[in-house]
Amino acid sequence: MEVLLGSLKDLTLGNVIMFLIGGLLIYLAIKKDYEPMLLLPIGFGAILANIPSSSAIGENGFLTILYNAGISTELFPILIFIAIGAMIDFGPLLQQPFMLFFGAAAQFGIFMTAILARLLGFSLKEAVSIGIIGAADGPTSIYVANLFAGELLGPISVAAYSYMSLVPLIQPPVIKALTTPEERRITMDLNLHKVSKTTRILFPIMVTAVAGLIAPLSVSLVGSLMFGNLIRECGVLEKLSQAAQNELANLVTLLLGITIGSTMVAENFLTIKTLMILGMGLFAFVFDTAGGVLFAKFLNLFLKRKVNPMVGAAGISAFPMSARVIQKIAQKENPGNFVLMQAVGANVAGQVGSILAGGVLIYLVSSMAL
Amino acid sequence: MQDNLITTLWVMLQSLGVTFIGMTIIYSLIKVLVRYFPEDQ
Repeated sequence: MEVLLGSLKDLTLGNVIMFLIGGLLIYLAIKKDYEPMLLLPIGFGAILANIPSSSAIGENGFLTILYNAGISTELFPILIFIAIGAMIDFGPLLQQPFMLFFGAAAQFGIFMTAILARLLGFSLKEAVSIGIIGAADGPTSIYVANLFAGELLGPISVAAYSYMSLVPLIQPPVIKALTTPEERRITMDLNLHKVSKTTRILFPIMVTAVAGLIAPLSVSLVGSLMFGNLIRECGVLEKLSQAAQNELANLVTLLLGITIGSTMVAENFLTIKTLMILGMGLFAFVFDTAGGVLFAKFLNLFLKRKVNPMVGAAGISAFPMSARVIQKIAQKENPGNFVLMQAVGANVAGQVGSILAGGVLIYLVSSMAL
Repeated sequence: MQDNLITTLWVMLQSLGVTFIGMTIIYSLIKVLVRYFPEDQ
């Protein structure tokens, strides 16, 4: 009997709260369809990790082994990038390269959030890791957080994926607060030129080379994304492209989620820092959206043919949800308005922007003797 | 270098600047690619 009750005796209030948090994440994944592929494994991982004397974690625990193999080494985020690269069609961006600037402007949340985190007492490395939630890109957040603030990986990942799933709720009020109905009704050019296959093939190779020369530490991130895209676009590796988009993406996502959940042990997770990180994550997404919209409005001061400023908000890299949100608002204001292609272009640019910003931050912070 | 607010501001400013420069270079790159490889033969 004592053996049976052994674990129960060690159960703390913190463990119980973590069970509830794990249960909440599973509920949100199943009932609300909020990033189910990530939140469900994270929630279950949190439950596994908080069972007293759990054999899932610890020296020989399978989750610890997965953590050491896939997160500590940064292997899982890198593999996810190959899968994402294979999924992304850069066509809309190649048709409208101008959208790249929205992809840069919508990283504004990263910088504002990092400064806020530093003001709240976090170290520079922690602040950068928290700020990168504003990349609106889970693997980049995991990659940077693991490098600079491994102990904050759990809350940062939960914040990143939760707010990505809440983009349809976060972006519309920010956009509406910063734009007039007339601005939201602006139509955009629908006559986009075709992009040659040669351009599609050369693009990932050249971006990798350029990004690598600007920030060598971004090569892993940019290179894996672009490798996946090259597999997609080359036209002779259809099986590999499909494998990357399906089997690789699914398998690594499954392992990534449950492994991250295993870092959410009560004594590390139930802290004021976690609450602050969750709050700052929302702040990051709001400022990402605001940065994109305000940058578009600024450009409109000089452009003859105005840009619908909502497209700037799609520069956040929550792909493709953000583009859909923008199109929905545009059609609500003007049923004949079709800005989806531009918004997708900005959205894809946001993916490039977030990885570039992450790589640059890694390079800058790593090169400082702190 | 000291870990303080000024350092953080400086890092963030550099990062924002380099991200924009990087995007400008990629923009130019796309323009060149589209110009020299306009369509498939």
